[in-house]
Amino acid sequence: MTAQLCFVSATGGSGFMAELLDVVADAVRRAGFRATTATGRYPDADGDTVFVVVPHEYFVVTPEADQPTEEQRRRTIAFCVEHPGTATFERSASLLPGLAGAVDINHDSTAELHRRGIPAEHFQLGYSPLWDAWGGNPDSAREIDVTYLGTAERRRSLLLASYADDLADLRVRLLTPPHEPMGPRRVDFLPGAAKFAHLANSRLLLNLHRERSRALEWVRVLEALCNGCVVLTEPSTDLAPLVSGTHLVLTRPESLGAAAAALAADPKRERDLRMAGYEFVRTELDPLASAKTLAELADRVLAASPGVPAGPPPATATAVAGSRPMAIDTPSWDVRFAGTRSLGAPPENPPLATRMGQQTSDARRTSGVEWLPSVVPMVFPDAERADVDVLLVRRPGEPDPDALVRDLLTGTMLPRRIFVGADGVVPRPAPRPVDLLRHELPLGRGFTRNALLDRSAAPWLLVLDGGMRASRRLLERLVAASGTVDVVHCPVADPVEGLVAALPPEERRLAELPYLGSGYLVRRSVLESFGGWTEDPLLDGLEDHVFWRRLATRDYPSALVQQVLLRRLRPDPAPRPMDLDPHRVWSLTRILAGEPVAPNG
Amino acid sequence: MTDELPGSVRAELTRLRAERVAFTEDRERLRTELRESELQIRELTRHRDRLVKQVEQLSGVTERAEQADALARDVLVARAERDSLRAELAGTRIERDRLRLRLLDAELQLSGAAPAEPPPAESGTLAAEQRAAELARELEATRATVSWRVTAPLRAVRRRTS
Amino acid sequence: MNTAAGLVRPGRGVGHLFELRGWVTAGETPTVYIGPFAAEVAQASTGTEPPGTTGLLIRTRRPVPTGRHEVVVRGAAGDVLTSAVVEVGRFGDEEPLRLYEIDTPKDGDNPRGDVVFVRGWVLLDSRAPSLVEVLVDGGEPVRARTRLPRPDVAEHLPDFPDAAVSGFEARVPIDLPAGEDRALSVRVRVRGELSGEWTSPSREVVLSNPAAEDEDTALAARLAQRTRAALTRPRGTTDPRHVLVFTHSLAVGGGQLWLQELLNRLATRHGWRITVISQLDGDLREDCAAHGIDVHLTSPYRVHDVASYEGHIAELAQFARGTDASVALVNTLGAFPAADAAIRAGLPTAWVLHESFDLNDFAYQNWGAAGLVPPVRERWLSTLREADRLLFVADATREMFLPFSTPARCRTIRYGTPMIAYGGRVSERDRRAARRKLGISEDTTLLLNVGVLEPRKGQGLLISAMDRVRRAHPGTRLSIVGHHPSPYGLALAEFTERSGLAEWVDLVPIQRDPTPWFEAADLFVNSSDVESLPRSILEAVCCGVPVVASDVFGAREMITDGHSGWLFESNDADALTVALLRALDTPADNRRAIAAAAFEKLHGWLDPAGYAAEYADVLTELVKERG
Repeated sequence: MTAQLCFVSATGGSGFMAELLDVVADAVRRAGFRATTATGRYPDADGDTVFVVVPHEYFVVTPEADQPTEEQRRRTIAFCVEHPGTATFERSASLLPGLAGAVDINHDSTAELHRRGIPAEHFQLGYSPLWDAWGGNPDSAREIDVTYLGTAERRRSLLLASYADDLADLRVRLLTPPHEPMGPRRVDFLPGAAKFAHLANSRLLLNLHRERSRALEWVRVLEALCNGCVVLTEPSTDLAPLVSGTHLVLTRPESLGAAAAALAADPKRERDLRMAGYEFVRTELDPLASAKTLAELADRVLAASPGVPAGPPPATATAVAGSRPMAIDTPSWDVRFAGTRSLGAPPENPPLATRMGQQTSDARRTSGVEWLPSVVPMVFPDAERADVDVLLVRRPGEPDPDALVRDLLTGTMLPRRIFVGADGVVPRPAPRPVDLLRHELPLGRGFTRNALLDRSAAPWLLVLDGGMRASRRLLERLVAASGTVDVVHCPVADPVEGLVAALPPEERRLAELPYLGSGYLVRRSVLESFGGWTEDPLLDGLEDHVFWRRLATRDYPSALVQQVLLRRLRPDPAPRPMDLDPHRVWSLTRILAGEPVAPNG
Repeated sequence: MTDELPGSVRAELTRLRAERVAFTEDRERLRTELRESELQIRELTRHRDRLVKQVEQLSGVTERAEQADALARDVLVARAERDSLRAELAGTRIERDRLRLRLLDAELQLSGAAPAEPPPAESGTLAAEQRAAELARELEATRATVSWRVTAPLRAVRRRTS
Repeated sequence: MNTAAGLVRPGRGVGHLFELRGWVTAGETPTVYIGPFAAEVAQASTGTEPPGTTGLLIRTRRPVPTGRHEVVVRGAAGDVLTSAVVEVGRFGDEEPLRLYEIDTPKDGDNPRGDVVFVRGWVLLDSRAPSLVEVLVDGGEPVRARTRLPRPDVAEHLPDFPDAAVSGFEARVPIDLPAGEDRALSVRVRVRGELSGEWTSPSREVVLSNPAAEDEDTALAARLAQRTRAALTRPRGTTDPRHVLVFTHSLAVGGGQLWLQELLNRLATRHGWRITVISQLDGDLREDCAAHGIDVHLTSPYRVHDVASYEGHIAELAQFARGTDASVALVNTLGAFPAADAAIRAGLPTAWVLHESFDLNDFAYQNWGAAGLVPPVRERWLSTLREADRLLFVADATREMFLPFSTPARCRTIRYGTPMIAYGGRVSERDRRAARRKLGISEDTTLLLNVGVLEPRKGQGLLISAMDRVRRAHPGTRLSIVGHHPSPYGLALAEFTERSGLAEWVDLVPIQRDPTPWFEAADLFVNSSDVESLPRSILEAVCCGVPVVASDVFGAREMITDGHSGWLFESNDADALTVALLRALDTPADNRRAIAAAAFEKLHGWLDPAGYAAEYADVLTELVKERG
């Protein structure tokens, strides 16, 4: 009796594993064997069913009550995908002895498993029609020049940030979802068919390794090659049988951006790589032989433990899906304060925080305020201008915004007017093409911005801080995405975190972490409906966080332009109330955002 | 012959003579005034002419002043544009330099003149490596405060020599 | 029993100071070496030692430079028990390794004046950085001068070759009126080519500009009034062709030679009678005598307090009136007392400003922090305003000083040089002869830099750049003509030795006549960070030597990048390296064309007769204007 393979993926797991098992199941069927797929608890088995799971995910994500029994495990083959050197590989390896057999898609992990005395067969992944949303037409149009798909992680974020200049003039989409279970489609996460369509619509894919791994991410690369998306990767082990320079491009990680830009300017070379890669996976990487091996392994498993394996008792109630866990490594916008993560220690100095707030309030009554309209008439009068005014507030400790102003004025699209608020700093007297509001004493970023907002009349505002620098395409690209939404923003390069504010606004995440800050284009009407920015002195440094929370609470539509168009100097502000009394300040943000206050406050 | 004139006529004559003197004086006075007025008028006309000329000149000056203002504004714009373009140029130069140096590195590596990237550190068993990584992480604090660790002795050096 | 030992390899890059764990057979006391240095070894339980052994904690004694180092554990007899390789360097996603100190200002300092002086040293991933920027509130980011000698750091970090030139400094002028205080934050941003970027944490300082003392202001007014009264006594007839020239020194030096040549031409070709008033004596007094130029020596200008200042002004003004000169020519920005005196004496005054410094910065450099009391500072500004002509050598400098005067009074008159006689090229024969004389082989590509070795001229940066350049172009040689035993010169000589660059870098002592080098050179490079119009560049252009120059002030008025030379952003080692590479990658024919383009553009005004004539015109104009 030949085995019937049942590929089971976990409910609530990452979609990748389920997709992968679908593809393998399809290969098995094409090889002439029987295969089915299932999700969650093992389905009731026939006498000839052999199960296949991805152990490092399945056994971890599946609730206790639905875990397979001893008998079922004796009829389970592990399908391993992780590389040695990662925690997930270790997890996988520790689970294997309890299962009936194993196959592994990577040569290096297969070798490592052998070294540990675990017999595993190599499974060669290859072309799958389920992946191919392209069809092989060399002249098909692709709307995206460079794309990237990978969870947000500091090392890779630093590298992506460093490519910003090289990729400035290309159409780029960097999808960097947080490291947490993903559900339906998001701007930074594309499951299944959407992902393959995206790859078929992209010319080049950048590939960077995760954590300390150096092995090639075969599944991702195959998905790309099947869709004619040319892969540029950092040096990788386990590259064979792909050949660098023929099927894909290998460069040092620092040069990946420059290489992508160069390749994008060489359509002939790009096309050669595209077609060579596609041909190779179609003709040389045929998973059917491995599918056969898998089927044979299943037969052996069947022979070793015949009968119908019994499942666990039916669960009395399906486990209530708990709140979806959130990634723990999303960087905060602020360099010191990270929302609930920072509430562990007792507050440092609440009375000082109160005094600081009081000082700012007093200063607002006594400080000198000077308005200096620009003496320089419009520069570059022939340039294309958008109906956007720039509100740029510079606070003590932030560098001169002259450089940022010049970035904006030499952009591909210029704003109407630039308003600079010098809040508690004294700029060098010099004629500047900006309208300057000077506060003798620091009165607060929100307060200053509101003063600038009053002077502005444009329907859209671009909100920036001192210390930022802009790509020449910033305004052009933000405006291009502003069609149907109220706010447009983009990731900001940071020298320590790599990328900050690289995620869309989400209520549940903002409730825990102030991960979004300035660097956004916003409709005036939205600001007016909020009454501007908060002027509460205790919220010094969190004005933009409150803005985003309000936005998320009221569900205003926003767009994330997934290209790095801004970078910032790592801020190092003097102590603020949120450093001295984090609990109070954090509660205050909740109240201002309109969140109902919990009994514990 | 005046004896032959009756007394009234004589009185009349005297009166008329006196009147004639008065009129003559008046006439002289008026002539003088007239002359003075004419002089004044000539003076004023000259003055008026001068003022007219000045006004003409002044309007030329105002025009020129306005032109100068406009030019000064143009200069401000030109300078601002030039500064912006210079900044853009500096940015472009930085990009180009970065790429050029990377190219140099690559060329040198290819020609073997510079040391190639070192191979990944060899590792023992994975567990030991992980443990070691944890231990190495303990050194983070040391690394972060390296500057004061180093400079404390340096300050001592300076005090001795200064 | 055999002694054995083991080391736990970190498995990742470590920092300059690190700790390793290991073990040794119980009862043994090993020594541990990290590279050539002994490490601190302590015995303690580490939790990883096998039974029967003692744990070892191995600590670095002092910072270890970036790179791979072998850690060797030796037994009592010196035999090697075990070894491991440790990699010191930036790891993955962490910030770059850094060793640094910002000597001044310290957090909480209260410096005086209107300039923030930032000085320190930094090594980013064991290398001196390519670029150091100082960010101060209220100021524009300022590129610091780098590769400054730090023998103290070199002494303390002997294994770091770049330590000897890890110093940096910058002056950030702040617009702070007298009598005001301002709280400022200071940060330093550092960039290395391979090591990325890092910014220091903020330090807070309060800058205080001392107020004018009321009595000083009153005294200044009183004394000025007295001088004014004394100067109203009638003066005899003046000679319309007699000019009074105020200069700072008669010693042989670049700026002074220029003036001497100008005066010689004015005297001999344009029939001017000249009296020179100089603060310092020097060899050029003989030159003056030879041309019939009278010399009066005065003391250095007394600027440190109001009474001395007004006193000196009164003396100089009286002296001026005592002559029959009808016009005054004042040389250099720092000679404002002379200009003040000449103006008060009633002489129409032309003032030549060579220096492209911000006034605050210049004052700081010449007279220290808050070195000019406010009334004297005020006189400086008034003098700029009242001078009949301000003359500049570059348009960029003119633009800088325009706000102090009016456009009609500000004029650019460029230098010339007698080396125009070369006509834009040196003959092959002369070139070969010069090379023979200097001992330079025919196939060497000679890079020339001429100028006294000083931080402003950036020769430290140039030598560092050679380290990279020579790997791509091994046949290149850099000759720096201007070496002298100053601290900077000595430090650079040592750095050259230590970095193994002696084969590619030549430090030549100051030459009165550097002509042979110009004749022999293939490329001329100027890396100054402040220069109005370097004459050495003009000399190179006259000799047909293509120029690589830092893009400051007048340089871009002479050179068009890529067309008549190469320009690079100043104070950036990467930019300088790339500019040299671009120039060296250009084939010799194209280089000749580039040099020709430069000469073509400039030769119109390179003839010194030209600028002497312009000066003569300016002086004549001034005499006529005054009637």
